[in-house]
Amino acid sequence: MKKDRPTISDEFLSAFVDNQLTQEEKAAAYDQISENKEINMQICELRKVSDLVRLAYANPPAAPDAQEKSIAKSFQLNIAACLLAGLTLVLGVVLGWNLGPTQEARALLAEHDKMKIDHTQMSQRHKKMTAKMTAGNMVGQQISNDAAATDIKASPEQIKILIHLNSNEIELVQESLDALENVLKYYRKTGQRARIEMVANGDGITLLRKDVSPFPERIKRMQQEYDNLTFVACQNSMDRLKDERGIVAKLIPGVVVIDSGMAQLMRRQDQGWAYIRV
Amino acid sequence: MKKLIAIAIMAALGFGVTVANAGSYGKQKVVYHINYKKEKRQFGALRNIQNHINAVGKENLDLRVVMHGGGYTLLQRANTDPNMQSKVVSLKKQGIKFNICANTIRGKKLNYKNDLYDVEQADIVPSGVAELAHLQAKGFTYIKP
Repeated sequence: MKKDRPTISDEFLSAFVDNQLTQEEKAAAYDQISENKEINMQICELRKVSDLVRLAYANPPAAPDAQEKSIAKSFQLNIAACLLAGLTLVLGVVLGWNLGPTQEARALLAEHDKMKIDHTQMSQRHKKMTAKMTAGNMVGQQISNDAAATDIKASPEQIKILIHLNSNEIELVQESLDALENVLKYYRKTGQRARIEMVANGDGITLLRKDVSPFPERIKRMQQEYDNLTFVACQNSMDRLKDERGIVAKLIPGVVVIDSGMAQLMRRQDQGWAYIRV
Repeated sequence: MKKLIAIAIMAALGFGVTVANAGSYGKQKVVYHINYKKEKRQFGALRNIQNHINAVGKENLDLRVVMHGGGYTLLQRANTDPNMQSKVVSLKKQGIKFNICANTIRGKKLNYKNDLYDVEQADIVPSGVAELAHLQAKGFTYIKP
């Protein structure tokens, strides 16, 4: 129990809802949330709901005169999603404030956010390149054959895929790894830039556990062979394993741990990743 | 706190408007993902698709079915099971496209002309997963029934 924490102000909450926090502040907020299993489950539920809402309206009816209306609609949905996050944070703060976050969790979240920054920088660089290309085309230049131009021609945007695994049914797991490897090969063969994350939660984390994984060597080989592939395990699922069955999950080296698998699905889809449930 | 309450009210209104407008769906682009071999679940998926067409109207719908892994068994069944076959035929008549992964055909050593129902070269996509990602990037909504 730590009592020396500053309380969260209304301004802080508003900033959180409005997405105006710095990476560190956000990391700290996620810290608070991820510390409490119950809160985290609630977040999962809330995010699931807002995810469903978002998916359902991913393609709002495109009536030609309804442009403004659909913008207003997505604005409202954004607010609703932020509100859900805000409300959850309030719950998290009220119930979970006294539980101090562990150093490891902090480091992981910081690392996670650093990755996000790196990624943003990369996509900014890519945008600049695309802009250059567009400028080139506008003055009537032909697309040159240099590597950058070919890259852009082949894939105007980097492909980003999240593959969600929540089962340890052996046949499904094997087929999922086959599909994962096939698509990695395909992108490599066709010279398309892609990032793929396999996120495991629930029973799915069995695949990533050092001692019980049915395919530990294959995971290691794929990690080495494809630097654009990341295996991700859900902290919530590992916590549950410990609470319900007393098992401390040991993961295959190189597997990244995130606070909540469900939250990761949400974040990645918000960032424009394709979602595939195997 | 006032700001939060204001946001809450706005959000509540937002949901109200959204639900009220749900009667007409307009145009939709949707991809259904099938990678399982369980017969009952496959029939369920085809039923979902028919209901989807009924709700949105076939003229408003660009709906693709992408099959890989165990999903190929749907078209294998359609070869021998008249019930499955008639469902597939009926959906195709309504403009639904059935795409199957080349990796699966190769991996399961299938002869798509003999082993699968009504598959042409154009129905085969190089990678089922890449196709699903590609369609989502093009604005298709992903559904895994």
